[in-house]
Amino acid sequence: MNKMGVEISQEIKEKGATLVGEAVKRAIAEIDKRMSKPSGADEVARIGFLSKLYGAADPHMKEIGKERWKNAKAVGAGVLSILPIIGQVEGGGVAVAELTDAAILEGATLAEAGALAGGKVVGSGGVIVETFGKMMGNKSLEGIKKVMKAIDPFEDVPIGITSAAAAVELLGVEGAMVIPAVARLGIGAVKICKEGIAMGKDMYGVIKDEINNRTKKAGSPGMGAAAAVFA
Amino acid sequence: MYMEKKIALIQLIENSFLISDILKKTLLEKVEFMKDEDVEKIGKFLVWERDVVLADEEGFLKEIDKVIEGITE
Repeated sequence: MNKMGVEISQEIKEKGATLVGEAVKRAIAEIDKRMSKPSGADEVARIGFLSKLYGAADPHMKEIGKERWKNAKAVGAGVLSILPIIGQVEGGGVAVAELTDAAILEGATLAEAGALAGGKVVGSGGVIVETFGKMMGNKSLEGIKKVMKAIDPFEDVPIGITSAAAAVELLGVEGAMVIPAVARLGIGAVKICKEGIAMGKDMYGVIKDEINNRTKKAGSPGMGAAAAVFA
Repeated sequence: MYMEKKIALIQLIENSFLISDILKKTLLEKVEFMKDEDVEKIGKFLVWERDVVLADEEGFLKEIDKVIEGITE
C-alpha cells in the first residue's frame, strides 16, 4: 500500500514500469525533435537561475558544443522541479482549479483551460496516461493530469510523460518522478558528464548553490511575512 | 491590504521552486492587474509550496543529491 492508501499489486507495478519505459522512449524521441528546432522559450528560460548555469557552462562551450548546453539546461531545470512535484502528488490536496487559473495566466487559451477542467487529456503522451488511468481509476489520475499540465515543470517533455511518471510514483514506485527530468536530458546527457567533467562539476555546483539559496530564503523572515499574508 | 497582498505575492512568485521561469515572468507581469481572487488563489498555492519545502528541508536536499549523483554516475 502506498502513502495514498492505494493497494499496489505486483501486476500494477510491472505494468507501470513498462509504461514508464515506453514513456521515456517517446520523450527522448520528442526531445530530439524539439532540440533540432529550439523555440523562443529556450532563450526566455535563461533568466534567473539558468543564466547562472549558462555562466558555468560558458567557458566549456567550445568543448561541449551548444547542443549539449541545451541538455545541461534541461538537467538543471528538471532537478529543481522534481521534489515539490512529488510532494504535491503524495499530498494530493492541491486545488486543481487554482492551478488551472495559473495555466490561463501562463497564456493557455480558454479552450485549453476548459479541456483541463473537463479532465480531457492534453498532450502527445495522452495514450499512456489513459492506459494507466484505467488501471488505477480515472478519478485520481485526472487530478494529476490537470496539475501537471497547469504547472508544466518539464517544458520540453510531453505532458503525458510527466503524468504517467506521477501516476506510477503515486502507486508506490519510488523515484519514478525522476524520469521526466532524465527524459528531458535527451540521449546526449550522459556524454556531458563523461566528456565534460569540469563543466559538470561547475554546473552541479551552481545547481546546489541555487537550491541552498532558495531553501534559505524560503525560511527567511521576509518570506515568512509574505506567507503570513495568505494564511 | 490589497497592495500588501500583491507585494507578498511577488515575493512568493520570485522564490517559487515549482513554477518555471517562463511562468514566473508571465505572472510577475500580470500581478498589477490581477483580480483579488486570483491573487488569493495563487498566493495560497505558493505558501503551500513553501511549506512543503520547509517541512523537510534536509530530506529535500538529500533527494537532490541523489538525483545529481544518479545523473553524473
